[in-house]
Amino acid sequence: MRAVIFGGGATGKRVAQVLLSASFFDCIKVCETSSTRRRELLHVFKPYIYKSGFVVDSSCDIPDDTDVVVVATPVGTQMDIARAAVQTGANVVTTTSEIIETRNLLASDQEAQYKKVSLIVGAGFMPGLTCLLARMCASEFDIVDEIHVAKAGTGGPACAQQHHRALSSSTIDWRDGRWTRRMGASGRELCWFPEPVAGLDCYRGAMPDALLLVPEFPGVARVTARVAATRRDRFTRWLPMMRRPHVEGLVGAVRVEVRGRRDGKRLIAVLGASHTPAVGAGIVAACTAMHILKYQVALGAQGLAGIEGGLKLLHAIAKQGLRPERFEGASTFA
Amino acid sequence: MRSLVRVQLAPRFPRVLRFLCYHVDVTAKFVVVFRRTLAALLSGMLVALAIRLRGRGGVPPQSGGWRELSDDEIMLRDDKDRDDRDDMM
Repeated sequence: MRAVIFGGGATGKRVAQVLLSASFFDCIKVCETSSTRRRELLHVFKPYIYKSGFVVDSSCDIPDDTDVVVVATPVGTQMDIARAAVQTGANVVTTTSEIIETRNLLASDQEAQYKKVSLIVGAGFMPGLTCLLARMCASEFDIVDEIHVAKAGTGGPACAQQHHRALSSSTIDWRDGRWTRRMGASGRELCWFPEPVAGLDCYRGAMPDALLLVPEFPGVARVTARVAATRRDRFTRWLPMMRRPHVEGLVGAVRVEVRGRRDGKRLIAVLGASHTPAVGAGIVAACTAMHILKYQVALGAQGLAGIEGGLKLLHAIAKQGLRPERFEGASTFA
Repeated sequence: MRSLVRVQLAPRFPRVLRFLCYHVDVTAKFVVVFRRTLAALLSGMLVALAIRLRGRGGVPPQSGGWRELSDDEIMLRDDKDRDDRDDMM
């Protein structure tokens, strides 16, 4: 088995770490254009270089015998890589969290089916883990009415920039059977995340979760995505980033709230998980890459909400340390 | 003193201010007080802005808490999910 990872940033490094520790692949190649990062990767993964077929390269060509390509590059650059990977006949796992890119990747469904490969769209912390948690929540209901996802924290610098853009762009929500555009950073809601993140004000953000969740839950009335932001974030959202983003963010969290009906009663289920977002995204992407080769999931482009054996994947993710948590409150399931 | 000259002689002042300058006794002391008031208001606004930007609102939930899911709980749901999908097909 051969895997190629594009991007050696905060997320790409974690993808490589999980794949190397799983010993699932014979050869793992990391494509990174920055020489500083290449040196850093070689330093971090020095023990694996000779015994596990670990290669760090600046060239972006995909070998013909590649089984899976994990794309962990900044958003906006993933579409071209994914398309090239599909053309070579490799399964693809992308980590995008951008609306237009997600839409374009989902539109490559026929191309992926023609090439007989799986193209997983948005296999990160959010979207990604949130899609799996939504699937798990939904299994507790007879009818799912609403899905609300929220995220706190950012991974590497590219993720922080995307978070900044998400607050200043218009968002896309699913409301009463149609798509609705809303202004970013509006609609404040206090969301309670798993410890140690706890309660944070969340606002609408340009995240593609609704695009990935709506097709998998027919009949759902509302799907929204929010991101945690401080008043400072909201105040400066229309400006360029005022300072250089951190190398890597602190502990973040995701939260999925599903409202629906079971046995005629209206109930709410809330699941979440907390981890450093870059590590979380790396674990989800790496486990997804192994999952699609193990279980032969459906061909074509899809998100994680509809993936075959989604809860097995969630189980594998939990084993890597990204364990789902359930909020047990007054109106939720006991 | 320079401020006083500016207030009295500035040709671009609106009519109301020009009227005030000629009919109200604008002394150097008045200008100093005026400037200090402006400075106090401005610094008050800046402090208020800083406090608002730093603050975090909201009410925490009054009951409930987070609990980690065990492997069994996840796999149990997997079985149920599979059964539900089979039923739908």
